Amino acid sequence: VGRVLLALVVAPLLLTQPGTYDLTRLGAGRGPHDAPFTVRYRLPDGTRFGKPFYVGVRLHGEVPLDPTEPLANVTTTNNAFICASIRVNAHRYGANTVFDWDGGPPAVTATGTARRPVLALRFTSVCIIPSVRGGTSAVRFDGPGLRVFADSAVVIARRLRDLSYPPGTQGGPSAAFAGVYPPEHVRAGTSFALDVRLRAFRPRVVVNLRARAPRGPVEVVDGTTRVVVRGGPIRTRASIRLRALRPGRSWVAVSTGASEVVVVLEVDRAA
Amino acid sequence: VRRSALLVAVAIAAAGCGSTRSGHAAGCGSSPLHPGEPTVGAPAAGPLLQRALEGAQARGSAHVRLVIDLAASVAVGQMPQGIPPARVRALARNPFCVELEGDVSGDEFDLAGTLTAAGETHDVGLRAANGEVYFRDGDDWHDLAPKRGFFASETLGGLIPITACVRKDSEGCDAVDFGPAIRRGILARLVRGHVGEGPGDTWLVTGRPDPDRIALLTDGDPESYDDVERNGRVLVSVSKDDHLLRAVDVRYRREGTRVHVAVELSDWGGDVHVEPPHSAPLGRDAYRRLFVDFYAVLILYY
Repeated sequence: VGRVLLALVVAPLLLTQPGTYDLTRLGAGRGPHDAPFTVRYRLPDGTRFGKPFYVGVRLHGEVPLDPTEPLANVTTTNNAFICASIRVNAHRYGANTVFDWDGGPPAVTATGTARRPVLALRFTSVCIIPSVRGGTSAVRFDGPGLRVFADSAVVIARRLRDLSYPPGTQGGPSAAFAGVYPPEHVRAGTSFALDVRLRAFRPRVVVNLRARAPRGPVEVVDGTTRVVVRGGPIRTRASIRLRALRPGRSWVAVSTGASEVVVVLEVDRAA
Repeated sequence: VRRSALLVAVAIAAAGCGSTRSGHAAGCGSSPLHPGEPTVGAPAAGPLLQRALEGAQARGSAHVRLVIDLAASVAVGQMPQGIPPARVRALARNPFCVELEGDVSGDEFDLAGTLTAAGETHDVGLRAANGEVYFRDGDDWHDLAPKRGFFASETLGGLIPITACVRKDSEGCDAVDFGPAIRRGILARLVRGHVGEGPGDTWLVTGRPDPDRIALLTDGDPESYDDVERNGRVLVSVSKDDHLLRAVDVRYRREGTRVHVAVELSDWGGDVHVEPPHSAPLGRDAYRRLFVDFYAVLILYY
């Protein structure tokens, strides 16, 4: 009797109805949880992809934008099969670093303090066919420095359209970044510019280029720049004007609306 | 290799189509031109260079002085195969430089000068005549290959931009022709910059390589050339009276690596007639001297 009771207490939650089952409800506590982090659940025996359920994973988390790491991969998996993968790339230019990633706001967007920029992740993505099965399943969240919040969840749906695909995998933007370059060194008390290159996937696209920075050593001079981006092989150039107020680390996020990049800047002392 | 090679190729292309002597000669580590300030009333860079390149193409021949010099403070991480490690270390520790001067036309050239590699300087010559290419090391001439095969992929094919590569039979380039790139205005717009007064009676274009136009020339990805723009510099002087190219100076510097190509051009449109050397056996060793070191250096400096 004791063994049966123990099994009932520790057994993963059996999900028999469509719904969103957050980590707390799945018995993982209130978090946040440091990755790699795994949570288990059960589906009725005989369950397969779409019969009767589809399975998705909602990730609400954040990952630090670390200038010393050139590549980070944030993944969610179900039974070791992929649900979503967000690749974060870092490109160094002197003391400064440009980060770009798959997908764009609001699913993947920059936030955090001037000293500690993070990438906020908030999206649900469907898990691939072979990952869905009856019995006990395991959802895993992984990525260097990833913190997973308790409202991350396993999502059970009867219809595929109730789940979404991973950020950056469906459709394409009408215009995208094709190079963002900071100066190699920035001194306090100076104005400087980010050199931005854009490519259009239609003959003419109007982009409202928005820049934002947290309170700190760097401020944005022009928050929004309207750019007409022409299609074809020659990229359109734009610049974002910034001012370095004092020494220290800060960051600037530049967004086309559909995609975003972050420039982490190390401001040196005034000459 | 591709980026460095492109700089070399572009400067060689300029040499191959055009020409006049500027104030002071370039040498290993020195430039014939220095950056200038924009001048009110100067022509725009694009049309100025377009006219100069078309003029060069029409003249068809020139006297050329060419300097290619490479220097880097590199650790030897990648060992090119087939070259002794001691040789690779010597190449990495010393600047590599080719200085050549002579007459060039569409079909023929006769260049003489020095090749410095691994701390050794050689008296060399390079000649194209009757469809063959010859290399001189000291007093000895060697037959390298038919000129047609000279640009095949296994030799120089990787250095030739796709728009200048004429393909007929081989996998590589059967010939090199920058004419289409000139006519389409690609070559003239490889430089983004301003125009001011140059040495002598010239206009001087001071600018940077344009990565989008380089990509048009090579059929490549513009973003892969942004680094060339950020760390590169191009200077071009054009005669005010005959609108012909006088000098091109291309420089790329990054993290201790320096690639510098300087071309001075004069005597445009002169008769060029080059005779093959009297005796020139097939020269595998000479071929190695010329190309193996050059490729090893490019691999090291990439």
